[in-house]
Amino acid sequence: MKDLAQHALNVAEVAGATYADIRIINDESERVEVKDGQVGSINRGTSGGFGIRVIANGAWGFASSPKIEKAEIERVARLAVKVAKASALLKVRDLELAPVEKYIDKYVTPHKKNPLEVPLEEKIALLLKTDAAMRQVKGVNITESRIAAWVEDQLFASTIGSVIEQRLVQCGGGYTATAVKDGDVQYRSYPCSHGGQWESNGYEMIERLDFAGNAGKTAEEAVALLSAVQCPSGEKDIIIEGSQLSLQIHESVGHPLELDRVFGSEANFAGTSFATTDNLDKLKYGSDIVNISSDPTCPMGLGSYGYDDEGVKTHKAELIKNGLLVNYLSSRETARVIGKNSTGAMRADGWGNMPIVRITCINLEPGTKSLEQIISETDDGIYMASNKSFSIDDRRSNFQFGTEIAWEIKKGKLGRMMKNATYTGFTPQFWNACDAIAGPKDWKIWGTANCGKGEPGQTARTAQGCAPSRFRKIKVGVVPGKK
Amino acid sequence: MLIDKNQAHDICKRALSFAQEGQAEVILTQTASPLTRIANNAIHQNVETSDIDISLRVDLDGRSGRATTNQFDDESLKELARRSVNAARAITSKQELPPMMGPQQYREIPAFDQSSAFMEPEQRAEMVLKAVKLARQEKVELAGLVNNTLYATAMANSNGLFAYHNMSTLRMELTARSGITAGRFAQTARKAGEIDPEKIAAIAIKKCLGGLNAKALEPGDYTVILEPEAVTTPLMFLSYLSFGALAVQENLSCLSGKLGQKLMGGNITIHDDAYHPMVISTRPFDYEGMPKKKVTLIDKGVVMGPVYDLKTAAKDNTGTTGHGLPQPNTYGPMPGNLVLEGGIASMEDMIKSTKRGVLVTRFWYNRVVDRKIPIITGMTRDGTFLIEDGRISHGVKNMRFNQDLVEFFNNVETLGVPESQENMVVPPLKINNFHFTGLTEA
Ligand SMILES: [Zn+2]
Repeated sequence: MKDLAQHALNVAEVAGATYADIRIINDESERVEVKDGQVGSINRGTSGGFGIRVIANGAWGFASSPKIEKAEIERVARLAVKVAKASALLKVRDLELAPVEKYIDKYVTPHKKNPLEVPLEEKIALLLKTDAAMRQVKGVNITESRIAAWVEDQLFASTIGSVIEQRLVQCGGGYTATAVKDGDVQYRSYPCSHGGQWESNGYEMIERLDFAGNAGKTAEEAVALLSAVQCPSGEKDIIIEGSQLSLQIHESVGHPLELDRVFGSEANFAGTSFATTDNLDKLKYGSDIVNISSDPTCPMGLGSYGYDDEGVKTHKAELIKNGLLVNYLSSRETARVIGKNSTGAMRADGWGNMPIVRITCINLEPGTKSLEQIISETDDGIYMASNKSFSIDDRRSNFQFGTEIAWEIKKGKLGRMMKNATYTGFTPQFWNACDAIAGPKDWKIWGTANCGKGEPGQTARTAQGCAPSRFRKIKVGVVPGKK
Repeated sequence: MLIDKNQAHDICKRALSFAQEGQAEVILTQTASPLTRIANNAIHQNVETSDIDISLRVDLDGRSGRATTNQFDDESLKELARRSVNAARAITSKQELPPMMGPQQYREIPAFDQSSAFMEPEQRAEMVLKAVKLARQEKVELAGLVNNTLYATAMANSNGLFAYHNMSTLRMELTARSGITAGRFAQTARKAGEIDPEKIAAIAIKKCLGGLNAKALEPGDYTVILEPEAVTTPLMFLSYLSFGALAVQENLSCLSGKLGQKLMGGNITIHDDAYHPMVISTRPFDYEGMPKKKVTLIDKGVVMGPVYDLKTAAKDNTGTTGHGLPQPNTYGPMPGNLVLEGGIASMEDMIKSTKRGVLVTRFWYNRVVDRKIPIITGMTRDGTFLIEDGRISHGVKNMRFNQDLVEFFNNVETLGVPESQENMVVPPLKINNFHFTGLTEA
């Protein structure tokens, strides 16, 4: 395999490439779903192939193929150079890349049990048991659960001389109970929505989640939501639970700080960013207690890995320090423009795509108080948990989120359950309204398994670490319920 | 290289031959989708990529397993069969599975054209160059793409069913930008010659320049005129939230319990029609190998019924309409080619007849707020204008909406001339009382 990779780089150089890298990948995946007491579907997937990225005449070219054979590798290497030369017909200037060191290394996601080696029977039994526990609750109409896993073996080689082998192991899952009555539909998910919790980890993470033990409570909450009061409209202090805050960080910190997006690369699709580079070291993105960094070295983060897809070794990089914008998620090309080194955020979806800047594992540093203490210090507020809807404008400024469940907070105590909770705001104002972040005891890394970006569309798996936090005077109840 | 009907037949046959137990079904999809992407008036990504996906379902006595691969040598297909069988064997209790049907008759849909299926990177660069030349003259920056795609889909099963279809498209999208103002236009065609880069660029640039110095509008209820690209948004949501039989049966659809009743305005008729001559992305069969039927979902506002697959049809004692997804699945059937019947009004007519309203180019980041009603939120993007006294007066800052879609289709005042939008055919619409609930900064 390494010989084939080296051969591809040689062919690309002979054809006129001034830089080339190749990723030869085998992706293995599995997904098991249970719905309403039956196995819904099982799919075991495998996808192999390679992608070659080159610079020729100062511009990028990329070509890929599922056929890992010498003649095909030669054809694709030459095609990538031809594509780069076509790109060069319309360039502003020759590409320049921030430096990267040469690495010869191996990286494996820390894990105990390879999730693909755990028998299907065991996964099906766990999901059926969970499903049965949910269905015991009267008033639940639909029950759905799933476990999925990915194991990606990747060989990266570049003309810089790097040869990096990685095995990335990821898995996760979760479940949802749906209750339907008189035109009202309410959901409750465990441990969070959007399929559940996802980690770079072995099957031990599924065992740790105690699916069956939490099923009854989850289903009961779905039913209780049908008769809960509607979230009121107005300005409230809100405390946001971890998985919801994770998505808030993803959408309103992660995406706007992707430096390719800041430079307009996504202007036709995912959009641009309000956080343009003239804001660097100037914009007060959040309050003084807001510290956010990119750290793909974090154990268990779904967006954790050893090297990114252009051979940059992962490391921690501060993005927001004491509320101030100090850096972006970057690639070798984009970092060079702001005179910095890459933060190691270039990743591609499988072998068939060209890497782009992605959210890694980005973490909001924990505060000092406990969640209980923050609630006890809130006079009139709402505690909102588990995402139901999310929408943010193409400059990542105006957002609206909805959660599955919420509870009223009165004089420091959690009170009535509320349904259809929503909140809206503008990114920097919102983060500047953050006045309390819970401490390490409540801090956790949440995974996002379906982040979309790029054309052709690429799906990335990212992570955001955080603890429940409080935001002052936020507009809530923006969508009136059914009359 | 395109996998033709004979090659597809051979691969499917080999895959089925290795599944020696129970019943088996194979779905083969080939996609080649070279794409040239521009930003800031330069090509910044340029990719040549292709893949093939072979998905094998094996049913053993009421238990179904599936495995997927992108390699089609004998060894890989043998392993594929082994994994499918293992998955089916792992299931302890029986599933409700739809049957695998025998051979079917399909209508031919000519959807393949050499000119869009095969293009050189230099040809795509040339198209982009023409557009950028215009942008430079007008001092705006273009972002966008040129993407030619070929797809081949084949299906076969151990009861002798075999289906094959291929299709190609060329798409060009352009977003013109000046500061925080943007304007956009996009077009898809089967024949490469039907895409005019200069025309697409000119429209995008005009929208961008016309939107400069946008003013903020107070959120509230407005009359809106939606361009066809914006009209695809509510229809896309109805497709997967409301128009499939499983959603109706689960009481999650706005159609649930409303069969034969008036739900939308009397001027609203919606079909699913894979054979409509203006539909570009289409296929004559579904993922159960069943022929697609033309289905009227809403007739003059009255609910006629959802689309079906074999399993949901059996439950309602009716026949499949050919809208199944790979089985077994948990989400049920879905329409693929919605056609909203239109009228004769032009965009100009609609603008002229509007005292005060908002012209919307497209919606963005649209998400479900309420599953059943359904309520959708999202924002306008890439060309939003205020109409005053029958003409476009100036650009307005983008706005957030929260909109009940049934209410939306009860408030349609005028339907324009239908246009092709990839997999749909939709007219521009003039709608009253559209709910803008918030403002964005650009
Ligand atoms: Zn994302």
